[in-house]
Amino acid sequence: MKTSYDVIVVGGGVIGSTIAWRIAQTSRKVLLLERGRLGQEASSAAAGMLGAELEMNEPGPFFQLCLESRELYPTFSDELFDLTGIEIELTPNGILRLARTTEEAAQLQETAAWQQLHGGSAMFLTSTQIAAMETSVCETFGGLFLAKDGNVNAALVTRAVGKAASLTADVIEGSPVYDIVFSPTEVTVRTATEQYHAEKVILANGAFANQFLPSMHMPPSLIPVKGQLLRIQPSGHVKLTRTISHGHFYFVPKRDGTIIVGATEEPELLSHINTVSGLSQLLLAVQDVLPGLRDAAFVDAWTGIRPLLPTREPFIGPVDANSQALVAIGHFRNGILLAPVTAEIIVSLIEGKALLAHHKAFIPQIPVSQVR
Amino acid sequence: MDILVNGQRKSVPDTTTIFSLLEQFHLQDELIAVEHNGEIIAREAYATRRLTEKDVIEIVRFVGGG
Repeated sequence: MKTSYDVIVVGGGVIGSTIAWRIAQTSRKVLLLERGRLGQEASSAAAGMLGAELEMNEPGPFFQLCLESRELYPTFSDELFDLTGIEIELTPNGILRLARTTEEAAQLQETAAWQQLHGGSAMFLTSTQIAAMETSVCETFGGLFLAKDGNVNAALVTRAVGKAASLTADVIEGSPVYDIVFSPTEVTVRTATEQYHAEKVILANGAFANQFLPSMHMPPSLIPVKGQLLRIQPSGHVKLTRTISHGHFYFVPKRDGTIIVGATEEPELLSHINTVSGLSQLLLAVQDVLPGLRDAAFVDAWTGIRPLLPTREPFIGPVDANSQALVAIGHFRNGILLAPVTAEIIVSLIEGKALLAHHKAFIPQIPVSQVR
Repeated sequence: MDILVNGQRKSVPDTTTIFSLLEQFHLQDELIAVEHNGEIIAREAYATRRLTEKDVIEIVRFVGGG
């Protein structure tokens, strides 16, 4: 293994792996360093919703970023299959957001209105229409059908981009980074056994970014947010055909017939424990929203730690004018969705190309009073 | 003294702690995370951590507990 590279990527989740693969495709020498196993954290824990419209509360660059990345997914899927042989189970059959009160119905109609103005696909459906689409769902006051949203198998996406990185870049797992040091001519990244040198370093280590942000003169403002999820297996003839969302709970049917139920949001917790209260909330949500599935079998439960920045949006770009260090962090609930477009932005920056206007919004901006 | 809370300028008494600031917003019992000048502050420190002039506070709310 050599020790000198063009780019070193720190963090082997869905973001870091996709970035490493895409930069390697430009014939640059890339090293991806992962402290554990590729994709072991939030990336493989995700439910896999491609909820570009589901997750947005207002128009703006972030909404555009999500729509853009969603449009990249079919090609992303084909490229990953051709390179790795892994099928990521892209299922763009829409997401149904349910209203269970008249107030919720009014709010969803407002949401549909602004999203339609900005490129969204939301259609308000009546309770009768929803009942006809999904037989296991509760009584509703109607809901929004987001026709272009959908879901993908997050664990397979994570595995596929990890394999893509392994086939095109140098990947070292089981290798925690101790520190990142900048000199005028290069960046040195130190692990337990080696010092690697590169022109640029890209920080993509998700919920654990605070360890290195100060060395890049950025405040350690990343907030880890634990989520608990579980999986159920419907019995008999009852099924769910598409992703359902109500409030902050969602139910994502997978190709193998199971349904992923998510999720809690527990700030500042780095634990991987499924708790009584967390799991009961999820199980009660199933009984409430999908009463037709009350006889489903419980399969398993797990956790993931989402990386959140105070702006609730990611930072994607150089930390300063020297641009020896770039970050791709803070993807929170949208890492799987945003991996394709994040990697595109990072590749453009590495190649010295001008960014699209709405991509510039994600370059780190530090409030002046925080620069000490 | 003047501080920034979620990007907005706010005037608070000189002896304000993080906890007393949260009380002003009625957030002291909510599921939140607080950052003080870019650092996450542990809940146990809210009552003792004093604010000073021009401090930058971010308060982030969460939808679903565990």
